[in-house]
Formats: sequence, structure tokens, C-alpha cells
Amino acid sequence: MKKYIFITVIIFITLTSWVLIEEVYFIVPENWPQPVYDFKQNKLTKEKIELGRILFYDPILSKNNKISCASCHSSFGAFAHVDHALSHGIYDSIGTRNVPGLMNLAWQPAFRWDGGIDNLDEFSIMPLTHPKEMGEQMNSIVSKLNQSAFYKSLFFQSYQDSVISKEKLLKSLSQFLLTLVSYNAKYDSVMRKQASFTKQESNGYQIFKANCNVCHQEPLFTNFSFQNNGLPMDSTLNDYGRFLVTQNTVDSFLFKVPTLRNIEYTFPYMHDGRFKKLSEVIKHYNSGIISYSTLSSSLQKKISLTTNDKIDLIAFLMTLSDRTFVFNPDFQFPKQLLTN
Amino acid sequence: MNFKSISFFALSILLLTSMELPVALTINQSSSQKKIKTLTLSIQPLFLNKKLILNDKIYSYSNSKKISIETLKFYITNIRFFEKNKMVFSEQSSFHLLDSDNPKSMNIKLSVPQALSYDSIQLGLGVDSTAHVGPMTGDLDPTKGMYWTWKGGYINLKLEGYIDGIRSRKNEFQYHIGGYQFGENCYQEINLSIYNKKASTINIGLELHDFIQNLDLVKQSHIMSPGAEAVLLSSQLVKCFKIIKK
Repeated sequence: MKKYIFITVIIFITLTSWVLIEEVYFIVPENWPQPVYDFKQNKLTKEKIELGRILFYDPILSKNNKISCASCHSSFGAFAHVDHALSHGIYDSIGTRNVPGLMNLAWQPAFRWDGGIDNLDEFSIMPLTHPKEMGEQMNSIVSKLNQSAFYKSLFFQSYQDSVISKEKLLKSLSQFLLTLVSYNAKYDSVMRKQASFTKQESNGYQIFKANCNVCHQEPLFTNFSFQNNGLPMDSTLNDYGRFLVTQNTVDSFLFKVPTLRNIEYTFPYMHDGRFKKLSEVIKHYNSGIISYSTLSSSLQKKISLTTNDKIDLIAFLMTLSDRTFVFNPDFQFPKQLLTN
Repeated sequence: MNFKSISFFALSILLLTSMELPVALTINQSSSQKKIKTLTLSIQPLFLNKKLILNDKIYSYSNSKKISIETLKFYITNIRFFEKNKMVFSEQSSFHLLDSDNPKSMNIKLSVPQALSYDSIQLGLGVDSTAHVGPMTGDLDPTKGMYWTWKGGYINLKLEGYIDGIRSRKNEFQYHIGGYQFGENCYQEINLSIYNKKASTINIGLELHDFIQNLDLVKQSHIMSPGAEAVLLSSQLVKCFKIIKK
């Protein structure tokens, strides 16, 4: 009898705490900097995050209603496009740059490889409208959504207004994108003192700190700067990187430093996806850098790693793989779309 | 961790402990366990009957066209053995990702009954995503780069390389073949008659020349989504598998 009373009390406490405690949708992990995204002007709610997820997976956003954001940003590839050197958009068209993984976007001050867009809410316009990505016009997307009873109802639940606007569409997409926070890799467990590196990983970490950490700064594994990392220019692309945004020659061949988190899943590598394997990336930094007037100051001094160092460094980079992130069911295809 | 999940966790523990635990299942240690043997399916990609060499080797086809292969990955699934058209053995959870870059993956080791007698085998080419594939682990781990989305399912085969004269960047071609939905289903079955029934290794060749010969790679350098072309290519692919008599 006592057991049943006990259980009833526990169930009661559980249910009341469920109702009383407000759900938090965004957590700044321990020892991380504050995000740059202004959450005040787009307060996260359960309904809006879910709406953003549905939009992210719905091909209705593309011109031919066949591809979605998720076609190129697969959750299982940490939202990059595995095995595609360059972006692969509508009508099988091929773009000019590699699809980056999507994670920890609330901390990111600028978007695209050249940093051409500095606001997440405006960023989504580019892939939606680019003729080689989703190829649709914003007005046309808004009108397609406004003709859908499914979306009118979802927007009403989120905004208490069933009229769908461009702003609401973009902010809803941002809501979902902001929840893509990856902070549960083995590296994070080690930093939280819940796990420890193997000898090899530990050596790899020392090599990382000595050679890579200036640009790929912990804990986000990027300092969000733009750098020329000494890659020979690909004459099929003639990509001048950040110069295309600033028109300033000091920015020639500079690209945004990408995060190294989940790098195991986001192959191929570099802004043009030229390297299929991490060993090729490390080989480049060790012996492939070519001289430029705009070469990153951090790469002026030659990096010399032994064969074992290279293997250990890769072992460390593998500790940045966050399986709870790539397998998070909250980030996967929403079942509501099947019945829509 | 938030309070909601903690309280949910506490509730689950309570419910679990108040339930009776099932009696552990006894494993049937029957004598038939001893009568298992290993049978290897060795699948060898070939080009004009010679072992395919990746990357550097340049091959000729259709008289003078030049091709090199960089990537060849594919799924072999649902391995079954037949005797007189009756199924005599099927491998459980039969999903194998074969990668030419990893020679070990090209040999599939099967545990079959010692006394297994058969005259033909059947292999699935690709993952039949219309069927429930179970947990996405091992060779089905979607982080291995062989999974599109719920809509495309698994990629059955990836073939990538370079061709002289092709009008694409760096003369590159990329064929990612897959698709499972109605009208787009690329899953195929390969049926092979076995002559040497006593051998411990069944050698199977995949003659890529036969496949490439049929393609207009110069005109179409990329296929990367499900559709009628992928279905047609899949039906041509299965014809390129054959038993190698050694």
C-alpha cells in the first residue's frame, strides 16, 4: 500500500513540475561564449521551432517542389552534403562551393564561405532563391504557403495569425536552425571531466593546440575569421572568396574558417570540396601550402608533422564527432509532412 | 538537462522497477552449432576481365574514350541460397556495404550450415527501403554517406571518376543510383547459378566495362537523384554480375 502512495506522490510531483517549469529551447553550453544571435527579436517557441523544421524538410520551398533544404543539408552528415564537392541543387545543377554543415549557428556572426550575409534571418533567402540551389522566388514561396491549409493552420498556431509573410517564414526557419547545437562530442565529455582522451587522442590534442587552434579556436573550433589557407586556385572555379564581397584585394582568396566539429561526417573538405579525406587536408597544411601575398599569418611558419603526428591529429579530430547531434530525432524528418 | 527530462526519467525508472522483470531467455545450445562453416562471397570489380584498379589506371572503352574510376561503393543485401528453385538458406540482417577502396569489404563472410547444398544464389543489389530495414547501424549507418533522406532512402551504388572529353568540371562524372518509391525503385536482384558447389569461396565479378559501355557519360555526367534513368541503369547493372570460374 505504501508503495502505491509513494508512486502516486511521485507522479503528482512529476506532472506539476511538467506544467510549472517553462521549457527552455536554447542552452548555452558550459564555458561557451554568449551567442551573437538576438533571441529577443525572435523568441524561440515549441510551435515555431517545429514549423521551422517542417519548412526545412518541405520541397514546397523549391521552384519545382522537388528539393528541400534537407536535400543538401542531411542531418546524418551534420547537415552538410556528404560526397558532394560542390553544392548540388535544383535540376541537378552544380554550384561553385561546398555545402557547409549547419551547427552552432547562433554563435556565427557571418554566413556563406565569403561572409556575404551577416544575419541568419536573411541568410535563408540566398539558398531559396539561388538559381542553382532551390531556384524559387520569395513571393512565389509565400503565395504557395498561403494557399496551403496545412501551413495556414501551422502559422496560426505559431503566430496567432494565419497570413504567412516572408518575415515569418524566414524567422521560423531560423528558429529550427538555432536549435542545431552540437556540444556532446567526446571532446566535450573530456572537457566536462566525464571522460578522458586515449594517449593517441591526447597527443593529437597537443598537436592541434600547437598548430590549428589559432583559427579553429575552442570551444566552437572556429574564430569566425576569414583566412587564405594557401590552396592553389582551382581554375575551373576562379573563386576569389571574400574579395567578391568586399572588392578589397587584401581579401583575395580568403574564406571563412569553418568549425571542425563533426568533421568526420562533413566530407569532402575545403570551400570547394577538393579533399575527400582528412589525411589529404592534413597533408595540405603540412606540405601543400602555396605562397600568396594574402596567405594567413598563422600559416607563414611551416607546419612539420611526422606520420604518427598526422594519425594522432586525426584521432583527436574524431573526438569532435557528436553522434547525439547527427542522430537527434528532433532534427530529423518531421512525420507531419507525410500526412500533409 | 532540463527538469522536464529529469522528471520524465524519474517516472520511467519508477514504472520500470514496479514491473516484473522477464526471466532471462535460455540460449539453445544445440549441437547443430558445431556444424556451421564459413562461406565467402568475394566480389571483384573488373574492367575487361581484369581486376579494376582505382584512381590512376586509365581504361579505354567504346574504341577510344578514356576513363578512370575513383569511387565504387554499393550495397549487397538479402543473400539467399537456392536448390532446385527452393530457398535453402537466407542470411539474417543481410546488409553489406562494399567499397572498392577497402578490399576487406569486398569479401562477405557467411556462416552457413555445414551440409548446405545449393545450385544458385540470389543477392539484392541495393537496400530495399520499401521493407523495414531495422536499426540504422553497422553498414546501414547513415553517416557512411550512402543515405539520402527518407524520400530517397539509401543510395544503392556510387560510381565516380573521370572521362576524357566530358563537358563537366575537371572531366568528372558522378553516378549515385538509388530510389525506392513507386516508379523509382532501383532495388534489384542478382541471380547466379553455382557450378562448383564445394568451394569455400564464391567468386563473383562485376564487369564495369559492360555497364559503362551502355552509358552516355559524355552527355550525362551526373545522376544524383532517384528517377527513371536510375531505374534503367539499375536493371543494366545486375546483368554485369557473373560467377568467375577459377
